[in-house]
Amino acid sequence: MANDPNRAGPQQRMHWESIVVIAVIGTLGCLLPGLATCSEPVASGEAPVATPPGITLQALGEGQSSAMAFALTEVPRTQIAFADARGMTLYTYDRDSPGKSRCAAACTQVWSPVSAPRSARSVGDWTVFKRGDGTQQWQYRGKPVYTFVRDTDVGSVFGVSPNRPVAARSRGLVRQPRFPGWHSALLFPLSGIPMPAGVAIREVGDANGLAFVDRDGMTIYAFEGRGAAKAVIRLADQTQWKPLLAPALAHQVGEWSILTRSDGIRQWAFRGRPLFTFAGDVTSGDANGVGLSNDWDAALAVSFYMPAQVRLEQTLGRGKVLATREGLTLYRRDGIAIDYGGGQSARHGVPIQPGVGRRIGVSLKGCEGACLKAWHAFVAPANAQPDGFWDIAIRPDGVPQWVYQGYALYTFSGDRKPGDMNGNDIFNAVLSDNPHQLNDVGTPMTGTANLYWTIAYPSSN
Amino acid sequence: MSSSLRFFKFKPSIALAALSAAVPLTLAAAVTASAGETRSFVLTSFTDAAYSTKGDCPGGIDPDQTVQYALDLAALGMPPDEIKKLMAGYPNGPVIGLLINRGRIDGKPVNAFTNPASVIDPKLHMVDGRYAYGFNLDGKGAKSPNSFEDPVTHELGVDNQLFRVFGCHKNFRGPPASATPPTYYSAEWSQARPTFPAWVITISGDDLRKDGPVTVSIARSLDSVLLDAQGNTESYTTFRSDPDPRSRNVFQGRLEHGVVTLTDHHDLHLVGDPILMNDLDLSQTHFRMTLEPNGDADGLIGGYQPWIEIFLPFGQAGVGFEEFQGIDVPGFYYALRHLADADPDPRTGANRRISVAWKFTAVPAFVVPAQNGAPPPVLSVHNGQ
Repeated sequence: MANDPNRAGPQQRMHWESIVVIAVIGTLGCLLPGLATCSEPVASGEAPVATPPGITLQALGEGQSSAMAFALTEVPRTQIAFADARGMTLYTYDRDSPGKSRCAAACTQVWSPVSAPRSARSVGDWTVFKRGDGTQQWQYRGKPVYTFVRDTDVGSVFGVSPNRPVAARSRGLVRQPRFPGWHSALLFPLSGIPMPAGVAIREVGDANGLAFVDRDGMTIYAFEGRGAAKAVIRLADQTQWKPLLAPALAHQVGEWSILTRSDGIRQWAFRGRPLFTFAGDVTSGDANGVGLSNDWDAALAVSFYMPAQVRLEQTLGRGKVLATREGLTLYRRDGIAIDYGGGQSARHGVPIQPGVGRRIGVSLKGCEGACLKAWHAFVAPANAQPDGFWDIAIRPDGVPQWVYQGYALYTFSGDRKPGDMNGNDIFNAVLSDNPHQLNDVGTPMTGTANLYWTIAYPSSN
Repeated sequence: MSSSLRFFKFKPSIALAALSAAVPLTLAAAVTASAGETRSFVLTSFTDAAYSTKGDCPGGIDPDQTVQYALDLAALGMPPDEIKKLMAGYPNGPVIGLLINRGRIDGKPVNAFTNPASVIDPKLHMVDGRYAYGFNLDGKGAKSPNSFEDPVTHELGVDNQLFRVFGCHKNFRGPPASATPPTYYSAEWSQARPTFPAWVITISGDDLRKDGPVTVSIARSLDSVLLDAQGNTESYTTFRSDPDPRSRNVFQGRLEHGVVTLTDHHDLHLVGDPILMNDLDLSQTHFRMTLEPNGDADGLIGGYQPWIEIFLPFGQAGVGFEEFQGIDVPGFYYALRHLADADPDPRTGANRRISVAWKFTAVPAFVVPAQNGAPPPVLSVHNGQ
């Protein structure tokens, strides 16, 4: 990460005590067996990044919503899998152990080891090891990862494509094959992190990661600033930060500890940081407290990769949006399925459909003349790699373009300053009066081919 | 018709022109600021302005969709016995797939909603009556061909071809003096409004108790309406105006006897919602709003609107729309296309806009500029308390 100018860490700040911890962990990490390289340093208060370059995140099954024809009123996004750079789901094998793959010879004809480049560096739970043939392979939490030869589409699981009609799957006409000992490698649901009762983990796009949430699903924040306990208490009292209370009988769980404050309140802390909720969050999934001050950040289990050319921009009425480094709003192009029943203009009003975005690709069918001049591809650096929810599309002119959750990203010439959203809800319907002309916009439509430009919001469920 | 694809509704020119219109808007705001009195409203309903009377459909009312489907299949050359057998299973079974793909291109079945021009025109019935709500858009008065008489103002030469398209279908008919508006748009509006950024109207003048010139602002808000326990839109709630220049319209008008009309008739543009219409995009904008004694308002807004914007919600919903609303989508496509009466395409000569009148109701509201960092407003005042 440190060598890649395209990668932005989740946080840039680091306190001296963190540096000491990093030094110790870093030294130990180099000594662990099975690691070809040392782990990337992670500050004690930081969440690890979910993926290294070349490893992506893909919603499984119907979470892809691969065609407008299969659009549902509510697309479940119950599983997010790790995938290779092509988007093919990754799997682990029970018989493998850290640094040791038991899948060789004929096995690799079905389960392809996911190779890591020589320059690969460990990131978070991801490390590399050398296979018997000398090649490097990625492993996640000590389990080597593979792709499955029968997976042909993004979001497939054990060879079952999300592109199979929903009706066929729901009627049981598509059976999930079983391969004993093999499991899809999932980021979400996230397992293996001890948490107190009443705390859960969910995807919070506005915090760009998997965040801890309270029993009401509200985002939990960690106080990252310095100051005596009394000062923190006073700050909380005077502002909209509410302490995350620990019950009288609660005790330390994993990296969760309990601070007994001078006012007698027992408050949860994570990695030593006192935890709060924010009164400015209205509903589950909000993270309106992020970015208000350097002293506060969402308490994340893992953070998502975000290119250095991208930032989250707070806007009027639409919350946080993906924006260029200069703050200009980023947009995607999507199809309209009226069966959503409204909500097109609302933030997260309609579910994201990565499969539809991929089908539309970088095509601008239905957009010509002034339209073509108004939308500009959000160009990726020449050395950019797919990572997390971010992918690269190569345009017809050979220029790489950033793709987020399946959708190619654009800026709008009518936006002049950070926060402008003048390209939102611009529609391009394709309709021919010629009875012999087939209207095709790249993705199957159940109704009239109506595409629209919409704000690119950070991923959320 | 042209053999080329037509591309609708990208309007960067609107956005960019609107940006350049910021100066006049600022001037208009200055006018508003100096006005003695300002009253704002939020729309609570928005429907087609129907005035259906006995005998206004000499060809009859459009048949139920099951009957129309049988006619559509017959037009494809299907034998009566087979149609009867297939329709017996409706709305289930293989007939649904056949109906979705009842378009034909080079003899091959294609989606009828993505490609409505590939379907044989079912020739729906059209209104042929005396009355219709609306405005004399072309200024020709009684000489205007195919025009109506407004039942309220009794103005002659009313241009409202949309009523002619809609008026012979039961879901779009609205009897005079009926408290119940036509079904279709009422349902769509109700469905959209909880998430749809509200449309707001602001009237400013020296003294809104007296006749005189006024400024009329029609805009979109960042916020949606709040509903009470009965599903009615709350009065006196606060709406932040959307800074997006595409949805800010300022007209000069006049208040007379409690009725606001426009004295200039330039274009209007409001970003909408695809369930209702992508955009409300009018040329020759006309407007008539009555300020009711209880503080509410109601009225008409009309002009020439791209017919494709009216068609798209029907087309997007496809067979589901036909099943639930009982309306033949390709039939509406042809009717709108044929009755379009303005804005001829310079290349083909085909009209791209159709004369319309939309009926709305509104309740009092507060409209404020959006401010960065300000939290979304909640109910600030209720019934003046």
